[in-house]
Amino acid sequence: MAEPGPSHRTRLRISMKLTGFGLGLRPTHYEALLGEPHPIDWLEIITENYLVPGGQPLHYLERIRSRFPLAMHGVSLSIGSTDPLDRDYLEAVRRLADRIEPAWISDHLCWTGVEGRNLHDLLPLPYTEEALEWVASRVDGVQEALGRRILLENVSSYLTYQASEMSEWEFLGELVRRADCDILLDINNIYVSSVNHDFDPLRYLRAVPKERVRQFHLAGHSDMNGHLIDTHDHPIAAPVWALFREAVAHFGPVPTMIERDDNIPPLAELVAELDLARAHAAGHALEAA
Amino acid sequence: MQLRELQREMQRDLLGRESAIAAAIVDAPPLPAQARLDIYRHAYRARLGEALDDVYPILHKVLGDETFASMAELFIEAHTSVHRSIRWYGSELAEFLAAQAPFADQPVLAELAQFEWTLSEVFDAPDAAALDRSALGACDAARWPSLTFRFHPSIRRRALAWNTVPIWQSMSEDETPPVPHASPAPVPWVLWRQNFKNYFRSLDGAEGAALDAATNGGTFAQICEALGAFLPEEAVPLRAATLLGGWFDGGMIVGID
Repeated sequence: MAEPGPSHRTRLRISMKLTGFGLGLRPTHYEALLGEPHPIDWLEIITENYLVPGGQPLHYLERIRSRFPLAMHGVSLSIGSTDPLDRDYLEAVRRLADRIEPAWISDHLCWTGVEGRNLHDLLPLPYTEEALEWVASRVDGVQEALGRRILLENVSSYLTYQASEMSEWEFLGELVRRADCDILLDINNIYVSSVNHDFDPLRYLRAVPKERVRQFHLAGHSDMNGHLIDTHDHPIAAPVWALFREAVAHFGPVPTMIERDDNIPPLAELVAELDLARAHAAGHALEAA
Repeated sequence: MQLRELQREMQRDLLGRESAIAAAIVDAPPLPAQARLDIYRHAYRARLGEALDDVYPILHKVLGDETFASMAELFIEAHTSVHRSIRWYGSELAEFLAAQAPFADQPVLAELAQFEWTLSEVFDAPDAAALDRSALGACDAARWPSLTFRFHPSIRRRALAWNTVPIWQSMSEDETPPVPHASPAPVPWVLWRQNFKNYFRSLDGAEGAALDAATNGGTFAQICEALGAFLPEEAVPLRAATLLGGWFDGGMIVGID
């Protein structure tokens, strides 16, 4: 939309809408997705995988986007970093968005490095007033640079800081209010963190501002005998399905997708898991054993 | 601890350096603070190791799991990522192997790494529509000597001193690789992408020189001049035309000026 005047915030309200149940786009499924139709409502891409000059990734993406609505999901925004915003990165993300017209752009509520380095991990923030103020100002800069609102996702975490002054859910709720951005709520991440930090996942769920939640993530994790790691290499676990049912009951129908990044099965297997997600959302799924 | 200091200390810890972060981490069940930090330390190394494995699968096979892992550990220790996308991590691996014991004793390893990195560059280099050889026929013959050619952005020229490509090929097909040996003289190779697939082939000295002249913006006359160093004068025009035809058919040429 090129019309002058309204800020990025107004413009967002006329962006495309996604509904239903999606999957993460992974190269191993390119051909299958372009073959027989599948009951997949939309696809989420890892933004960075397509910030390349050309070749197969962008070639497939062009073909796939003619069949499926897309959402862009980044891992390198580093919204919580105390480094300056990376303008080249934001420009590249914006160019890709202009090209493929995603329903929305999301990234993680975390930081990935400082002093120009990228640790390629989603590192937790301390939940302090200082961090809140800082991240809110960064979100504002990012939304201006991208010309649209963004969704921020809660990450799985394995540590918390002594310095924290509030809970993660309080921080998230206050951040989206101050920064005027939206939420990608990862149900598995809530569960993983709840085990690792010994809190009640329902308490988290119910504290999240309802009107901000635009998307759910589901994924599998690994049980390390006492703590959990967010590995995305297993089917979704029973307690996460249970939390998902609570989430649907609480937030209503929210576009939902399954992330699988390792030990990736054939597409049909993920399509079956997506059907299971539909059944859970509809309240028809049998209680998992 | 303020946010900036906390992030610096945390980063130092993940990179395996002296850090004050441990005291700033909550030590509560189910895990002590140090074990919590160790999860991130481990994940950092594992993720960069996977990134190296993605770009250097044949080097991995040649070295075997254990040696590749210890090589990756040394490399990761020496190279932090400054890239937004992890796809660009590991570009310096060939230089690293050429200088690092014990890998430097087998120069074919550095050359193999260079070859695999080049393949990755070819894979996602910018796109451009290739011209058919008929585009050359459409040019007025009087203009030929002054014609220059634009090449596909994926094209890369390498000179390989070892039998790196046969080793790469046999390892790719899970066959026993030939014993590494140096060639009497470095062999020119060209790598490029056509219809979203990577290709590579060796060149004779004449084609190598002609292709270098052409990709550096040389005119058809200059391409012929380059060939003149290798061929009798009367053989040059035919060879030049044949080579150009081959470059067109390979999808290497995207423009004529």
